[in-house]
Amino acid sequence: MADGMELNSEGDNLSEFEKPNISGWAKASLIMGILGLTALPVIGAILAIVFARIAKKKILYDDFLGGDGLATAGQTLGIIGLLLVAIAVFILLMQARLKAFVDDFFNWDTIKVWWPRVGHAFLTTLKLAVVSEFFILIVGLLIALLKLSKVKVFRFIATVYIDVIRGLPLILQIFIIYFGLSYLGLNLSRFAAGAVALTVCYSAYEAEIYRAGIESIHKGQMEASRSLGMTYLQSMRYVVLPQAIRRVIPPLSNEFIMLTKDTALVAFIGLEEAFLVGKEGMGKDANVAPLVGVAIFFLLVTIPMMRVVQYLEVRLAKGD
Amino acid sequence: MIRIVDLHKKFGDFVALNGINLEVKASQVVVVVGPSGSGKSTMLRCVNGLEHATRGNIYIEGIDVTHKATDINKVREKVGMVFQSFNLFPHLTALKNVTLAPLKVKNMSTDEANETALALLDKVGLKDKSDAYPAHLSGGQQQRVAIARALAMGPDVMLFDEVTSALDPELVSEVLDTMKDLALEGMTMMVVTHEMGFAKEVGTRLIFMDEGVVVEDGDPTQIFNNPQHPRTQDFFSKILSHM
Repeated sequence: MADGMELNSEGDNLSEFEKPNISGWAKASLIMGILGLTALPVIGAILAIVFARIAKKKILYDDFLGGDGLATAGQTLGIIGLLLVAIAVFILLMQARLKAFVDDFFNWDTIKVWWPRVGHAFLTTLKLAVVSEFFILIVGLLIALLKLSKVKVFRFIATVYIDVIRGLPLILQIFIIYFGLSYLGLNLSRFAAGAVALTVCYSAYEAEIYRAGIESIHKGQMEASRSLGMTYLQSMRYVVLPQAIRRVIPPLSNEFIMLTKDTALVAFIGLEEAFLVGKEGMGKDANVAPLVGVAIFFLLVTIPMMRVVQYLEVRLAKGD
Repeated sequence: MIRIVDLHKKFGDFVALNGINLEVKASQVVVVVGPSGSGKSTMLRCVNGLEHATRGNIYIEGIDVTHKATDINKVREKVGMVFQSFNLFPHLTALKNVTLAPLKVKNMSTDEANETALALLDKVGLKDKSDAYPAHLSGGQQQRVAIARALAMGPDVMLFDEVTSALDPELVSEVLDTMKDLALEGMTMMVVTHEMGFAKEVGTRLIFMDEGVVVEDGDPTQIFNNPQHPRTQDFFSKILSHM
């Protein structure tokens, strides 16, 4: 060990581990990586990856600007080089098929024709989502409170509800509610049945989210407010729920995004919302393009919602 | 004022309280000390119903707190509690923390509630912090707001559960001073604490608990200078060795 040590003027020991050690293999890997993207396609890329593996085996420590970093860079360039070649080959081989794909899925003429009808139907989609969400937020909270109740019967009812509903596919629930209720004499419109089914289903999931939020509030908050003479309900209303709801806004917002997409399932009982119209268009024009139009409408709404949720998560986390 | 009769409390198989008999008279400042697990906090929490007694009764101003039919919310209006972890409501300002219960439980008018709250915050020395949120207050300040909040309901008894144990040392005295003022005004207090200085200076009665029972009960100075029971002697020798 003493042989490998140098003393500098301050008297510190510099072992050979502290001297920068840029392996030749690492440099070679980087060079091959660059060549792999330019003058020497496949071969350069493969050599880059090979050299990088050798270099990494020889490097004793992590050093970004030293050997390890260069080797990783070389390896990455090599992988990119190989991928680009693979994609180019794929496009070449599938040229005819790709053209057919684009003509079918992205047929702008067909999309333009169906755009207004799909757009109009999408309003129904949005209406269904918003109306359902209103009831889901309320029913979900009620069920959560039942589940947290001191009364055993209430807890039992809530648990059965949550378990059964979460255990069944949503499409099944939509059918059972639409057709089942009509046999019982209650003739709901397709929209109403859809809203009821979505409410029943999503409130079970959101009840669990509410419950987790409420339970995440420190027990001391409830104890302090009860000690002041407030009832359980007053404590919930003025102390626990205001805090819990702030915490569950991000997960509830995510649920709303999922709900907006699940409205498409109500097409299967014949509600004229966006997906149904798109499907009709696809049938009539033998072209998938109308569904692409539907997709575009959904993304125009869901992607901004995702950004909103992200923003809320950051804002609300700061408050904590 | 408070009468604890043969109080027992079990958590599963663990016996936390094994027969407590205690009487607290008006304006007494009863300081409860003892090792961890002795049951001091459990006893305090039984007094205002946060824990349910397994056996025994607790009477506050004649009302049986342990009886199922008693309206515990009404009892709690007369019994204020301050916690080790402060438990201030983080989404409300100091002022709103103090006015919440009077507004919702006593149906006070907003003006009256604000007036009372500001007076209490002034009393604990935090009038200028009335619009601050708990997150912007130091531990000592938060605890003093908690005391003001408990006082806002006009209790006859105040329970303090190790209220300085979670505070940085330099913040402890501001809280103890507030409690001392309260004692001098004649408030009936039950204080679970490790602060022996407070016990000697402000306490009118010292209770030493160990393993769920009251081991010694008497004048603080007397017990400090001349602990009778070996367990008490053992406890004090451990505590006072680094004071």
